Amino acid sequence: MTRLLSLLWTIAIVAFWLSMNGLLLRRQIEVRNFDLYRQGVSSYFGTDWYRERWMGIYRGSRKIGYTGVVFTKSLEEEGIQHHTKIDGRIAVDLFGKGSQIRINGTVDADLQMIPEKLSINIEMDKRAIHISGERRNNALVLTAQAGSLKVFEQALPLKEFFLSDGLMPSLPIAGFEVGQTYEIPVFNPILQSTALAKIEVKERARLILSGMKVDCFHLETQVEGITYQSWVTPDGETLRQEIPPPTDVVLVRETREEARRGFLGGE
Amino acid sequence: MAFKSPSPGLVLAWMRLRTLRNLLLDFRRDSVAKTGVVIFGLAVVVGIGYSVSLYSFKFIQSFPAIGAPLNSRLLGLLFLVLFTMVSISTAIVAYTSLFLARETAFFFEQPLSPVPIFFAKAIESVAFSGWATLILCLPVAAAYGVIRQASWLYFLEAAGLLLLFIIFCGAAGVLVTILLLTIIRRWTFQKLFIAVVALQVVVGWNFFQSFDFASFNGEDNLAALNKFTLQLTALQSPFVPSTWATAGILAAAAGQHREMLFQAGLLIANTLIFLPVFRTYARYFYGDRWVRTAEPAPFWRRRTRPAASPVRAPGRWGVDPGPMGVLIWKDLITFIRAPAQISQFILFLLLMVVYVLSLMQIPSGLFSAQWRVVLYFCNLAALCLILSSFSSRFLFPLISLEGQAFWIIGLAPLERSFLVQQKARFGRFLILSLGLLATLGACLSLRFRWDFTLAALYTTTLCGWLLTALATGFGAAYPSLAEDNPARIAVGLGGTLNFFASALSIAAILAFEAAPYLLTGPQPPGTLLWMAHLASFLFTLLIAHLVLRLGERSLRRMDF
Repeated sequence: MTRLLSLLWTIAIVAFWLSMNGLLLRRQIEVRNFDLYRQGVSSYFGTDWYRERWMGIYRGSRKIGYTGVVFTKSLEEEGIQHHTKIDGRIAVDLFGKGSQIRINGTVDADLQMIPEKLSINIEMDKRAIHISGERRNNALVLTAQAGSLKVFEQALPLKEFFLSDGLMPSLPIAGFEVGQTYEIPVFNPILQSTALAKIEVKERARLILSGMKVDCFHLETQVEGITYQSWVTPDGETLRQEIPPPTDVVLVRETREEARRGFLGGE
Repeated sequence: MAFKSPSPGLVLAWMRLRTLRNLLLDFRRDSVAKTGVVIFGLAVVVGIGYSVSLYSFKFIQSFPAIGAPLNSRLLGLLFLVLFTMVSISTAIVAYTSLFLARETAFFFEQPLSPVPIFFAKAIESVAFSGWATLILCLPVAAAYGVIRQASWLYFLEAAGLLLLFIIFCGAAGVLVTILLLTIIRRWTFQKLFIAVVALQVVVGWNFFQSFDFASFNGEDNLAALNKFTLQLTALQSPFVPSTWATAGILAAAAGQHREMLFQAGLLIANTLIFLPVFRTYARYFYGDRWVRTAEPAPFWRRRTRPAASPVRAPGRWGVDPGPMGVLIWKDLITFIRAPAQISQFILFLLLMVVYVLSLMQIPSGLFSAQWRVVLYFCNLAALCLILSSFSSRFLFPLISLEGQAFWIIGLAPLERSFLVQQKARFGRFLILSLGLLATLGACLSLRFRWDFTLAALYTTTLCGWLLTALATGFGAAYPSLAEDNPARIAVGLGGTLNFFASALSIAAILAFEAAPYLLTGPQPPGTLLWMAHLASFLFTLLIAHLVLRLGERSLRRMDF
């Protein structure tokens, strides 16, 4: 009897060992089979589950706003889910009248980075637009509403896209090599449009951040004919972005507190 | 009525519990006081560990872009280092516990199968090697949770994961011992030595390649650390056990309990798999191996010597070494012949060499005058702490290791105080040879001025002297003659007291030496420096005298 119990115990241990290591192996095979973009997202998180990125927005030497993106991952019953949360404020000058655009929202995407639902609020002065999105009939249906008025409804194909902060796309990817290119559809909530962003890793570079030299990659992003420059560390942290005229602003990496501090009532 | 005997495993567990109970019942007032001191010391260590970790994590986190990911990677680096260190440490302790300990021989004389004996000794080895690591790492994990603003559940999960990880590393260490013994059986010591050296060269070369400080002109140590951790691919591989622990802690900090359970499951599964492996080994090979280890293969290929050749002894050249020389020679030979001692000693030497070589990577124009003084004292503190671990591990157990043969020396026409003096002299010889060489190497690597180098050698001499006195004095005051495992002697009550006393003494000597710089800046007047040297000298003399007298008195009164 004792021998039988001992044998059963051994079998249970070996079965448990095989299943846990099998699950680990399956995870890795899944990641290996990803395309470049999804592999980049996987490398960006590594073993971590939470990353955030806050940038101060400057025109010349004047700070005119901030933008922040918080990326989180969670393990749900359906598998790994990605959550992106954006928060930004930017001062604009419309016909000589100072105003402020506030944007905040969330996107939940699956392991393939295909959005499941999104919710974005855009406020300017006392006007607000709410954009919501959900999966319906093999498409992601976006609806924009201003109060009770439906502004538009648009069905996007069910494939991966990235939510931009309205300025320029800054993807959560890591593991760059010079010469690589990524092509990702990006949704601009301010313009309420989707465009294809083509990102090319141009060269290795070194930038000074908070008085420290940091190794990074110089990336060039093209969206609708406009070319943006950005500098990103090997593990995917954006250090600096340059947006050409007419927007003509520079985004500089800061801590969450620095980015929000002293700006237009930022908390 | 038939009497059913309990299982042998339960009998051994019951024996351990009874031993613990008897130990608790045997607490005298002074034991309670000593335990109180030890607990207080541990609490201080935990408190300091937590504060330093919290400050470091906060400091690193304050750097935008690289701070938060660097903290996560540093946690990964910690687990990778723990994996290596705990495995090696357990491998050494397991070797002595499983094959050399007198208690193991006693167990083999009982009607017990090798399986419960193997498991009892293996569990004991893992516990002995891992408990201190667990206590030292808990505050680090707690500080990380505070930085990540984790919920209260994180702290429980992190403690559980750490415990699981240390058990896994310990079990891996036991496996290393078993595999090594199989290899050693087939290999000569020379082959093994060459293989170990070759392995060290490869690992060391990779290590120093990662620490390419020179390419940064020495300006950004944090950036160098960032680059170093980024380059360590082992940190990111999901198949390395340390990654399971890191991923589990990170998931717990992010409130991802499902993922934490997955990583914990991986650790549990890969720990449990050792059970059938060990069971099979214990059942079919352990007994045989234990017998062969009792009569080991030659440590070094012996030359056949004519039967009439005289026994090699210190007096062979016609010089009478006297009792001091004979006893020192005996200690030296015993030390070299004990595999557990010599293997840990080699590890210790490697640690010193790695430390000194790491210093060579720091560029000369790195620091201002003020920072050079800070570097000078940091280097001294590091060297003295390494010497302190040496004295705690190798010198403190010297008297206890006389063991049951103590009566031979006890009956010799010698004062017992002579024995304390002899151990102290032997210890001073070892610690000063190593310490002065390492200090000189470190000072030359850091390109310190000659006056700084001389002062460093002087301070190391004082620290070496005092550490030897403390280890010998406490070793004589708290001997464990029944214990034959030096690692266990070193972590006993007396050993822990010695460790804290050593740390405090180093702090005091360095405080004396640093006082002129703290009072007047990086270029203090010569008179103040001489006064500081004199104060540290008097302090060393006084404490060394007191603690050696304490040891001599205790040993003189001891029954054996």
